[in-house]
Amino acid sequence: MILQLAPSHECYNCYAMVKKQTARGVLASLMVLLLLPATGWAAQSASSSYQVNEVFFGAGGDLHDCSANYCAKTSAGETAIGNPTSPNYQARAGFNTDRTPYLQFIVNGTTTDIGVLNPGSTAKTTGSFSVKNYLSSGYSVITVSNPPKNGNHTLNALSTPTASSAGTEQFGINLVANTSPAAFGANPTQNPDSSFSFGAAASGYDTPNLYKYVPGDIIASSTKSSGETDYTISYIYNISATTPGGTYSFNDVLVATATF
Amino acid sequence: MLASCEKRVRTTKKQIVLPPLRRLLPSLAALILVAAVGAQLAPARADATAQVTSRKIALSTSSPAATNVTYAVTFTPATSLAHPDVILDFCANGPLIGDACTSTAGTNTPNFTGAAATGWTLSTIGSGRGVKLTTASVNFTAATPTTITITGVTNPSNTASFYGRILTYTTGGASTNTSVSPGSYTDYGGVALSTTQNINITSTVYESLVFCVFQTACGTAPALTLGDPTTGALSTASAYINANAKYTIATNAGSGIGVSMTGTTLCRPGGSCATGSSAYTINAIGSTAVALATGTEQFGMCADTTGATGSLAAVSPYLDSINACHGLSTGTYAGGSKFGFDDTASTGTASTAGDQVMASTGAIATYTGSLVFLGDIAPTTEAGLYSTALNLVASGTF
Repeated sequence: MILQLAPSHECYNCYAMVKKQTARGVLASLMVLLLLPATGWAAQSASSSYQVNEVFFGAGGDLHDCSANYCAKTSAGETAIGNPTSPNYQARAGFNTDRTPYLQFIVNGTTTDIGVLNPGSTAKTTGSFSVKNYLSSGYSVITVSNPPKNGNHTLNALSTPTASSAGTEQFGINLVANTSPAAFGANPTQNPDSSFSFGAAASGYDTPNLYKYVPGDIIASSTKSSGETDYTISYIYNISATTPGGTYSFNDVLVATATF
Repeated sequence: MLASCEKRVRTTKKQIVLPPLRRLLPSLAALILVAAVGAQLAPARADATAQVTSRKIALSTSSPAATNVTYAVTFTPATSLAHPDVILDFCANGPLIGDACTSTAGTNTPNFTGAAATGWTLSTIGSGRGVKLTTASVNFTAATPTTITITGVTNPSNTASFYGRILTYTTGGASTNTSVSPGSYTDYGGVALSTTQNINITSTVYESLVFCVFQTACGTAPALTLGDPTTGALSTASAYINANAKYTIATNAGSGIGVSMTGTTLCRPGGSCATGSSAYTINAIGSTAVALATGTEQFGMCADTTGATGSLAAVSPYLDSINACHGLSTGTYAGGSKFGFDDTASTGTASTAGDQVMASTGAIATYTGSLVFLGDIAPTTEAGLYSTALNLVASGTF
């Protein structure tokens, strides 16, 4: 604490007394302030019976503007919004920010019978899922299932990105649009657009016409909070003349994990 | 004004000689100040809670209602703790510490009944929706990531998002935790998780077996001449072989195949070709493979399986142990390959089941091989046109 008083030469002792009295007053005030309960500094507005979790001082707004069919959360007068980040920290600036982390992971669960496989051609199908999350450092989606299996025989899963080859036993996937062995699949789509959504196919699963399948691999990810990204999985099945007969079942279990 | 000041100076001078207690007041005030500041700072550190960073809960499967699921809880503590207590609480409505928790274990949140974690003692909270973990062996180090792997969890049956709340405590500190009154926790953090449907794909592979015997192309029955290329006649001076019969085989029979042959040795009309011992036949070599013996009646065969997959191999007596029946050409023959032909009615080609020629132990990728026939006669062999029709059958075990 530095107290700066300006004593005159004419009445130095008088000012010295004023200085002492002022200093004592300030010290007393400080002590009173310091002895106040620390809870008085809490960020939220609260009393013993009520609390307000989200308050702001702006030009206007409402948390629940609703018509018969739609609702909106509005605010006006913000001077800065956004998602400033550093390597270790990030923040959400703005009036309409939610403090609840979020992960939405939707797999469009389907049961598909791709019919009879034969060595002369490639069987293919697609599946889809979507992910969005909030207040995270990103997410990853892994596929955990074993490759298609019939009794004791498991179709040969491609451990590295490989082109489809009819007549060679292969099982693989990717998450992009392909032209071989036929035009099928799709690139990840950002919803509403790439300004808000950042998910992408993972390395090894992001090259058109090359397929791979390793259980436990990350197949899609985002490195930060992201709006919805819609993914399409392209599956290929090839068998050889020696692939044992029977019904091959594949229950593709995907797991999304967000890091907060 | 000056007089007033002087008066105050005098007063000040009097203060200089005041009793010692008055002189101690500034020091006392300073002490109170220090104590007040300390009082503010010290509790602030003790009560400080910090958010665990880089936190996530990785599920081994996101399938709804899946049992025996592993939840790997990873986070970086802000505070070092020896033998901490940990609360992992799961709620359907939100991750915020202190908020009331909406949950039905097994429906919209996991069920931890029966869960376990190495190094930790678990007790369920909230009717099984979460767990309190205590330990006598694990320590947390600030800024060092830690993972608690919990096994035996049952996923919520709903396909929806749900939330986890992570709270750390000093030893014994979590004993009174509730969602709305979490007590004096040290670090905290929330995560969001989700269960979701799976993608199911089924496909069918038919059992397959492709087997044909041919001379030029599959589908055309071979018609072989065993003898001199010009006259078509056998000779006592030399043996003849014919290697023009081919076969192609492919199967996905995982337990392999067997190829059997039915028929008789070479015979001529007027005789009985039921067995090799009947008249008007050229003697079959029998059930033991032998090399040619010029001037002796011999009819035999070997099978070439060189290069086949699935451990396809010729079976005795059709197994040429000398050359594997490989590389033989139609015409006169003086080599050492061994041939056999068992046409007995009990176990040979004259039996109902026929005689096994080849067998494999596994599936066979498409393979084409040869069947090579040997003909030899003795000086006493009756003249005439000898022939036979042989039928080969392949059977797979799938």
